[in-house]
Amino acid sequence: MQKSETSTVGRSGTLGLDLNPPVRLDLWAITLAAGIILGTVAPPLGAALILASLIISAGALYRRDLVPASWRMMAVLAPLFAAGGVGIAFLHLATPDPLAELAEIQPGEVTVVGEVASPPVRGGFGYRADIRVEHLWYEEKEVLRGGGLQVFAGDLSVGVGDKVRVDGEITSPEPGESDFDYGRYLSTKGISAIMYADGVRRLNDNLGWIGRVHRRTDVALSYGLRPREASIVRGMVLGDRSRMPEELEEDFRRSGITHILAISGQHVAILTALVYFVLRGFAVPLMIRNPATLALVWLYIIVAGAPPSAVRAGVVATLVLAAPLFGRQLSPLHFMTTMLAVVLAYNPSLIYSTGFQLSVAAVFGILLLRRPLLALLEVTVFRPFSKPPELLSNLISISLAAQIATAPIIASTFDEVPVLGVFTNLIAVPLSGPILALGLLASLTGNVLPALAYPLNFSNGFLVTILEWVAQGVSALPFAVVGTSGVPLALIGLFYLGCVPAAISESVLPEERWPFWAGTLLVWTALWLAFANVVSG
Amino acid sequence: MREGFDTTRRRDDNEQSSPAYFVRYRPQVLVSILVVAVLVGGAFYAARATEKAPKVVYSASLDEIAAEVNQPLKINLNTADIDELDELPEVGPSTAQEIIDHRRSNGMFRSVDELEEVSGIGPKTLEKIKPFAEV
Repeated sequence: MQKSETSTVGRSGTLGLDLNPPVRLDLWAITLAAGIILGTVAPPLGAALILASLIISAGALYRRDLVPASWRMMAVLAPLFAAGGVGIAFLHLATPDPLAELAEIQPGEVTVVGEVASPPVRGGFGYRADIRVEHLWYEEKEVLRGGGLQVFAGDLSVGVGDKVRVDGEITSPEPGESDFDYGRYLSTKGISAIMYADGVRRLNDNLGWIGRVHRRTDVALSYGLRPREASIVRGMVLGDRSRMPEELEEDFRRSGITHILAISGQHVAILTALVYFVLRGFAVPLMIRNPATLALVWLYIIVAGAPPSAVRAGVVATLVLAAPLFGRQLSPLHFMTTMLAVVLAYNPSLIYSTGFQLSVAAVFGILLLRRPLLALLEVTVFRPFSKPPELLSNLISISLAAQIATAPIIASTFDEVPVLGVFTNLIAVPLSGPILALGLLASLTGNVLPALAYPLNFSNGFLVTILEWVAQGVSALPFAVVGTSGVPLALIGLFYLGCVPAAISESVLPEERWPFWAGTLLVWTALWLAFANVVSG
Repeated sequence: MREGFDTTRRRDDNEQSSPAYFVRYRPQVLVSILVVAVLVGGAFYAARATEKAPKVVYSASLDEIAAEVNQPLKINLNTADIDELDELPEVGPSTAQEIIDHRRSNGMFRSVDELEEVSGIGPKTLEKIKPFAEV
């Protein structure tokens, strides 16, 4: 965080921790995060990072003109952050997982008592849900406590937060279709094994409070909304898409607007703004308003199952709302890198989570590419306007920046890229704010008095229907997606390398050069997609 | 004189010796160390100390488990009958019979790897069988 007023280092009463000159430590978080990522994905590269930072540090200490004076301390301390990151990665990698070891030897029947951590969804045979293990018995002896299991059962009439007893066989996750590493995907959620359950029994009638919230939300959204529309609002409010018909989910994916169904930064931002401005409207003082907003935002994230994208957004919201309390300036890029360091320190395997990758790529894309793209729009599309429509130009540039930054991840994960997402998002994003706000209000009021939920849900039904039409209409177009199966990692790296000039243009180039590099970026993206399409055959 | 004194005090970083440089920016150094320590501590807690991390609460020796289940932990490929071989991963009654036929026509197995010569057992199946078989 940057202090709002520049202070002299060592001045009495301050720590002098500005990121402004004379000392800049802006790169501490990205160095630490790089250490965690390399230490997790390729440990030898983690060691190489430490070595490289040691060389830079020694160089900065003995050759004072090696780096600019304000960056000298950053260079000197680089090994501390790099080694810290690699150390964190090794700490996680070296942690034994007895639940995974037990599952590997396929011991046969076990009994588990635990808490349901995710809403049951259809999959494989019957349903599946994640369970946080509290106790695990084998051969009538309790052998394990803690860890996570994914349970498959013919019938799973349980909700998030319910305490359950599950009897069945545990085993290690098998690779999925196209050698998809299902075990690694589950590890991003803290799941070590899967269990084929013979029976799942709720242990008592006292439902978990999160499960109660989900059930009450279902009831509240049923007042005046058809099940299909309610399933969309439910997905947007709780991030729970288990009630959505498969073909509707496919329509959202092909039209490039699935992100509005996931609990993402957009959701957290809307909720944060809603609570913040309501409290400000009631003249609640800053010292109460910001902590209260944060408490409600984190409560929402927990109720929504704490998906990685929401946790990421929650950490950034925490930094943004905490900054004024400590008299610090808002620095979005520094907050993002700090978020990366904090979240990856807690769970480095999140780097394998597609949701987390998309969330981080989208935000970095918006932070680094938005302004060059906006400059390009102003000299091309909006050239005839003496004063470009600010809302529209911002919306297009943000949507375009996020689409470009996430394209390679979508290409490699889903084997196709929705190329019309830029246009569908022009309608979907503005709609998602009111839908989410009305959905949240209907969920709250429906629990108090159903009559209050009806007008809110009627209004929401209209908006959701428009959203549905857009998704269905765009999805039906033959050129809605470009096939990109089998994109190699090197091609993804090459794409991001090509984005660097546009990403740094705002920092290193005069404003009149931004449109050129933004235009080059668009051409580069189109060529890359065409090449990926050819590679996929 | 005062201005000159201040100029002397505020020497450029490049003119300072390394110890003086660290002393001048001690708060940054200390906070940097503290931040890394807090994150490493948080990682340690998340990985090992939290209740969510799986922990063994009962550990038994292999001999103890063998005694409890009252059967050997590994199946001997040279002495097992068709029912015992049937218990191996990915091995059904017909493959178990193939193993016995191979044993009869080629003699005892000298290593578990020889199972790959048996019809119906490929490299992937062999990898799954290995932890549970011996000769």
